[in-house]
Formats: sequence, structure tokens, C-alpha cells
Amino acid sequence: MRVHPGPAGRSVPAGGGESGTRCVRVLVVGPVTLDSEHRQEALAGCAVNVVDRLDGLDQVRVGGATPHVTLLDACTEDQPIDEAVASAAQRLPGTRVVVFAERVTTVLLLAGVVSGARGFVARSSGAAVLRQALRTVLAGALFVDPAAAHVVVQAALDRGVACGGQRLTLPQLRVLEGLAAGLKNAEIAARLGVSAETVKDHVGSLLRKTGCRNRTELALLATREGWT
Amino acid sequence: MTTVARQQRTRIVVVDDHAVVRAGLVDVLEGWRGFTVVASAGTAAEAMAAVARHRPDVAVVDLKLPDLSGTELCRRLREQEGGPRVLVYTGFSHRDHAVEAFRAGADGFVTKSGDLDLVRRAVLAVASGLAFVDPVLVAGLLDLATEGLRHNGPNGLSMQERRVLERVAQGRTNGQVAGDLGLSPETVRTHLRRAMRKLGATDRQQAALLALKDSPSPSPPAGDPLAPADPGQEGTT
Repeated sequence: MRVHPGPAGRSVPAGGGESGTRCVRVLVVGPVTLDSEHRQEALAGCAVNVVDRLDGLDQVRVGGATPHVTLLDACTEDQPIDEAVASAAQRLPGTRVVVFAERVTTVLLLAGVVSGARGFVARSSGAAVLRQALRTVLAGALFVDPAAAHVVVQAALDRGVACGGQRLTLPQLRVLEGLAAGLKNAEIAARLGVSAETVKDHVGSLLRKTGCRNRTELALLATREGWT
Repeated sequence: MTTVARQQRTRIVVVDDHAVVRAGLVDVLEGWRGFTVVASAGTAAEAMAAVARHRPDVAVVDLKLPDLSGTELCRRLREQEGGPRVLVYTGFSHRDHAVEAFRAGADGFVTKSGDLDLVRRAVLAVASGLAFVDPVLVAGLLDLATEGLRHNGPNGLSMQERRVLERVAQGRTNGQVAGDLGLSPETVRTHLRRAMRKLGATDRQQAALLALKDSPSPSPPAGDPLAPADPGQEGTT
């Protein structure tokens, strides 16, 4: 199966230039993204040229042809997903970032969209979903793994993430993500590049807004609601 | 129309006020393996009766019905004990229609402008308990979801990071910037580090140039810049 212009009718950027075949340049960032056989197959079937595989965005070389699509593994970068996406966009202007993650959670989706990611694919989804993602983002549209449709619906109904009528802000969501991952305040602070005091403030707001009594309840709530 | 429950098949009631659309949809659905249409209806009243009688797995519902809005029909169907999963299939393609339908309890929303395979995937998804969103609506729905989160400027910089970079561009040292903004030098360094990461810059001067070249500098934010950020407010501290 070959990548072709999608329903939006925008053309796939011409690339490669090898024997006139249209070829999509894909950069893969992350250790696990394409390890499984079916993904390689999916990409091969797409007339895709994986131009490079990097362990992290800091390895991106300046110069050369910008990849049309960058597949960014959410677990690769030791930073919040929105920063990783923004950083990819900055280093590779014009590339369309597709985020790969264990699960497409609310926080991942919202933070990713805000920072300009164009696609979201769960690791467990098959090759067909990846193909669909590539085709969709190349056509200029936004792609969300169908397995995460309920996340899209809930976030639209809540206008983000809401709890007891109160909306959570992006910084609060990032802190919540850290909490749910079992990190201590200092660790969250280091990851987000803010002071421990700031993290503490955010935790306070989260407790107030959600009515949770402690961090453990917050973490449980976030996981149960599929926010993180 | 059959009343014999065939196991393993997804049993569907089709609700649409256009006879031709209804007939076409029934044909298409019947043509796919694993689906059977147990009844079709042209009005909400007929739909309620058909659902009560046949207890389908899925109701495929148009939003425009002569006696009741499709959204209201969704609500009534979902209120019923053991009611069907509801897939809205409509000519309306604005996100507000989708939001309204989902709020009323719809499980899926597909516009009539898409190709038929979308309908098949949507019925499969809602029948198995998943949600389904027409791909053409995803961006609109996510716009709505992220409206309140988009306070950061271009490049994903926070207001505070931008303020720091503006002063760096004016040739201020980190210590002076800290004094200007009422921050500790350590916090200023943190803002710079984050901004450089976001911008892919290698030093503070380059970060300042990159940040300010893309957009005119914003008007100073309302309120006292020295005041600590309200944790209830958007903004990265």
C-alpha cells in the first residue's frame, strides 16, 4: 500500500527523488518505536523511507532534507511531551510529529495537540493504524488512534480535563502526570524544570479542585479517569 | 424484517427520515458480514417502538427526524435499561452537533460525507463498547478541548519564559533579569534552560533571537509581573 494524498486533497510532499517514486521521509526517534516486525512492514508497505533512527532529539543533525514525518516515542525524551514535540518542530521545521505512546491518555493528547503534534498512536495498535496515521498527517489532518476516541470525546465535553466543574490547567496536568507515575515533588520539579515549591503549589490546587485528600487519591483518580 | 435473533451478529435498527437513505443503509449494512438489520424507522416514535420490540445492539440514528431531534432520541434510547448503543449518522458535520450528541449519550458520530467503510468501522466500534469519532471531526473536537490550555505563545514558550528572553535580548544579565522580574537567579536560569530546550537553541542569545523573531513581542501581561503565578491560573511558573 502506498501513501497517497488523503481526502483533504493536499499533496504529499515530493521526496526522495529516487527513480521518480514518491517517497515519504520518516525520522524515527526512540528505541522501541519500530522494533516490532509489523511496524517495519507497515512502513515498508507505505513507500516510506526511514531516513534515520535516533535515540533522542538531541541527536538531530542540522542540514539535509527535513523528514516529512517524525515518529516520536513519548517515552524517549526525559521531558514532558509538549516540550519534546515543540523541540522536534523547532529542530525540524515543517516536519509533522506523530507521537507514539504506551497509551494515548488525555494529558498526552491535550499537551501534544497544544504543542503541535499531528498524530497519536498507541503502541499496541496494529500496522493498519500506523498506515492510517501516516496518510492522515500527510494529508494535513490530525490523527488520533481510534482506540482513543473516548478520550477525544470526553476532553471535548469537558473542554479539557474537568473535575467537579473546575478545569485543570496544563501545568497542573503535567504535575498530575508525574504524581500518577509515582514521582516525588523534587523529581517532578526536575522533569518540568520548575522549583519544588511550584510543584507543591500545583499539588495544592489539584487537591482543592478534585477534592482528593492526598497524593495517592490524586494518582488513583488520574489513572482511573484515563487522564495519565 | 426478521424477528429471529441470530447469535453472533450485531443487530441493528436504522433510523432515518429519508426513505432512500434508509433503504440504502439497510442494504449496505446487510451486505457486511456480522451485521443484521432487525428493523428500520422513519420517525423517533417508530424507532422507540422498534427498539422496544427488537432490543437491538446498535441504533444508527439520523439527527434530523420529523417528530423529535435525533439528539433527544439518543437521550431517550440511552436512558432505557439495556438500551442499544447509539451511532449518529448525519449530514451535519459541525463539531457542535457532535458535542451535543455525545452529551446526550451517543457512542459514535459519523457524517454522511465520509466513505461507507467508515460506517462499518463505526458500527463495529460502538457495538464492542468503544466510542467512535468521524476523523473529520477530530481536529474540531480537540480545538474545543484545548481552548483553555492554549495560553502559551508561539514556540510553546510560557509568558514567564518570554519575559526572561525579552530582557536577555535587551542585553540584561541573568542577575539583572532576576532583579527585574523578582525571581531568583536560579529560577531565571531554569526559565532559560527550558526556553532553550523548546527553541532548540544552544545559548541564551540565540534563544532570545529565535523567540523574538517569530512574533511581535506581546503587550505586557496585566497585573503585577512580580506577583507569584496563581496556581489556579494557566501559565508556567
